[in-house]
Amino acid sequence: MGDWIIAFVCLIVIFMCLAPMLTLLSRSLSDPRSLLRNEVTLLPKGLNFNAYQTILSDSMYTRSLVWTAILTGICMALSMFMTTICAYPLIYDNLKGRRFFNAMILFTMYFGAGLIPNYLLYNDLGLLNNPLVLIVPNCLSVFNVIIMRSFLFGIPDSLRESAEIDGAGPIRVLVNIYIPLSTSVIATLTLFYAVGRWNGYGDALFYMFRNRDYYPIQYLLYNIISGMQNIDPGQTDIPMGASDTYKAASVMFATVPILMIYPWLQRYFIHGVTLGSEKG
Amino acid sequence: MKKALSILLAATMLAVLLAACGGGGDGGGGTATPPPSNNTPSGGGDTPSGGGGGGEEPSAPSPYEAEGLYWNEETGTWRFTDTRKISVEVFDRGLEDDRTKPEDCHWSKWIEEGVKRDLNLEIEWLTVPRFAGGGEAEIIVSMLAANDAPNVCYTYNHDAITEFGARGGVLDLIPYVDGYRDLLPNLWGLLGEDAVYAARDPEEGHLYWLEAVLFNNARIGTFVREDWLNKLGRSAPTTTQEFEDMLVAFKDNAELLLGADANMLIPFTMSDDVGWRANNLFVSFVPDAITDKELYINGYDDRQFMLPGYKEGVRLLSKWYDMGLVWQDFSTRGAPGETFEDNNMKAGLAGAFIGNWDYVYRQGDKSIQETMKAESTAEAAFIAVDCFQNDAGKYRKFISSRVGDRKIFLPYNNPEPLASMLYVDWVSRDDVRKYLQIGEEGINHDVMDNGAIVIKSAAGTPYIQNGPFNIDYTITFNGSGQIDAIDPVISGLSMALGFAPIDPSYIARAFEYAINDGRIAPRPNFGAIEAESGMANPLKSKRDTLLNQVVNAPLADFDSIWDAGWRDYLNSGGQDIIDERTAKYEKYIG
Repeated sequence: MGDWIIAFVCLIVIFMCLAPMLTLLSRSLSDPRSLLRNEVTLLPKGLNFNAYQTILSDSMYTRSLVWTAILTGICMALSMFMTTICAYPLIYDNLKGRRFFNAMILFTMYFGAGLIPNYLLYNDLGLLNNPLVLIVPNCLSVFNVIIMRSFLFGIPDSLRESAEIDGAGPIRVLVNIYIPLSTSVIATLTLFYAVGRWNGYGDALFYMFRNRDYYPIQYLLYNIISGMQNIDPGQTDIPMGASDTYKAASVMFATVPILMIYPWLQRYFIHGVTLGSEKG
Repeated sequence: MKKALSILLAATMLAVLLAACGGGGDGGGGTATPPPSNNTPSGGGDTPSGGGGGGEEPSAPSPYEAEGLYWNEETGTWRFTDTRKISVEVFDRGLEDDRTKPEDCHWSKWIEEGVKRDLNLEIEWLTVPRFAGGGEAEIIVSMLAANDAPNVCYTYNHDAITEFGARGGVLDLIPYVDGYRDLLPNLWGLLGEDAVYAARDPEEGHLYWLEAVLFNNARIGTFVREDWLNKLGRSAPTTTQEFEDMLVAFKDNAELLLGADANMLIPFTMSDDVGWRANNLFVSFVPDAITDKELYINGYDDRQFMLPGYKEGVRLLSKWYDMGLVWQDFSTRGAPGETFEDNNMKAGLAGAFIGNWDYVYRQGDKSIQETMKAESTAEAAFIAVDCFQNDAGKYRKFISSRVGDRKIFLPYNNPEPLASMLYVDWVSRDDVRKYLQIGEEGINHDVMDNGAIVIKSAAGTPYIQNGPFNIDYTITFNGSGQIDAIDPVISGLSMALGFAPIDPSYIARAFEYAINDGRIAPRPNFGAIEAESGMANPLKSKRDTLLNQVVNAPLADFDSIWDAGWRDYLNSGGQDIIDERTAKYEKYIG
């Protein structure tokens, strides 16, 4: 009986998570007339793929999607590298100035400079309207460093010490001992970074607004949604009734790729957890 | 090993900085040159000889020689002897829907060509996203801080420009508008004294921005389904009671009006912007005898929320809501940007609404009206009505002031203030404004036999206007649906015809009713009101929350909810604004 209750609660939670996506999907696949009449809920009415055809034939969308995928890949790799090499030294008790480094890192987590100082800094560094502004400033998340550090703390010192007795230096210990044992946290943080980069548009909005060639997909989406809410007279060929369908399809188009990464990474979560227990 | 670890950690941090320093150079975008236009301003199609370069010798001594200007007989303008260069802000509305790059399109090039020829001025366009999180001002403030702002800027944000001025971020324009008045005949001609000096500080005398002007001051109209009135044999309502009776009749005759969809009928639809979407009803409860002083003192809110009598209008709407006459989901599904509420109209399910005077007619063949015809019945049409009378029997509305919309300013570090002002003057010229508004004949508009100008969509051509009527370039003049630099009668005809295929009589009626008995709230310039600084969003939020709560709540709870909300509004800054406005009014006017 208890299992049934748990299963029932889980189903409700799953439904609550899925319902917005299902609604969006059905809106993107419905005919505009049904949307006008507010008849579309979880299932599409008047199934058609016109909105997706339009979006896929628009080079602006596809180019932005490809760029965002590349950007996400670069950011993921760079961020994980930075996070690892920042977190790793902090687990050594005998690290000189460890408390100072810890405090300095933590300080930046609680106190941000804000929009204008950041703008001034990026301007001075030549990063404004430069694609690097989408990569460099956010390549390290202090929160994620703390997660990583905490995870590395959990790995027994004896493993490291035995490797050191065999002559391994810090880099070899990191590469051969810690990283293989940290796949689960690496997968988790990779997902955090990937989702954060994929969904981010604030940096493009404030620091990249004059370089259209490198708009990430979410900023493009932001423009589309804003633009459709402010359509000017006689300036568009999109039928008014269809704008909801296009909006829904645009959001789906921008969301699905990052959703697909999750099942792929889930394998590594399980693998990482299993590996840890075997070693333990 | 400790040393190695320390170095590793330090290297991590250094790497971030070095990587950042490695950036440089804009990616920039390619350009697509639109076909050349022979419709250049004042030049009749040809660029005057010598217009392409600087360094011309003046033909006669110039009273403005010290400023580097000479009178050019050919162009009939004061022109710089040496080429000057300024940067000008232009809104970026995105490239979707066939829009072109605002900094590199037919219109930007046409302006560049014109100012080069007439003023010997080169333009660099600097785009600013129109739809940034908090509006364009959020970006501009960063650019001002970074000495990176365009030489000529504009914003709609009154709070922001007041803040820029208070912090010394913008130039005082008085030395230019007064000192070079003869050089700015078009600016003075278009704006007039009232607009030019509208933002002048009454005590210190500085002028941090120029107010653009509006031609069309219609704001809000009331609309009902004409075909439903005909089906029910009713005439258009002319009083508030008749309007209510009409809504009841729509509800009671749902089967006759919508057949199988009867249960979906919505007598009166609105969004959660209650203050706007029921404005004509609410302000009809404001006493007609209200003085200019009272209007000013209580006039901070742009939905007239603080005016006396307003509460009774809200009470009536709340009663209609309880009677099932108002869309029951307006608070939860009627957020701006959501389309559910528009859909009520497009699907032909709504019987009446209050909103922008031309809302259902905008976009002509793609308008709500035409979509509704296609989706419901060919007879479906919204027609304007004027029915909310005040205590003096007038159909009072508060219409837009001619002055006080877009604000044009020059950043404090502008190296070319005179050239910038000459540019502002140049875009204020009648011929420049007219061409930017209506564009090319046959592409952007057609001319009827009676002289009326019918605007057409230029989508898919290089002549597409990224903003309606190119309002992003005609910076001293704002508002769509209006052509100002032509005969007023022709302008009226043109406006009515500008919504084809919608019958012009609908437009003319909507416009007439929207300004009928209209009153412009006074906007005396008493300088900055300190209490208003930073209060726009918090007070707007409190207003909207209260209006939504009180309309949704049972009528029996109306007074308690309203009174509590109103007290909260006043305590949250509303009272301070009233007090300061009162003090200023009494100080300057009495």
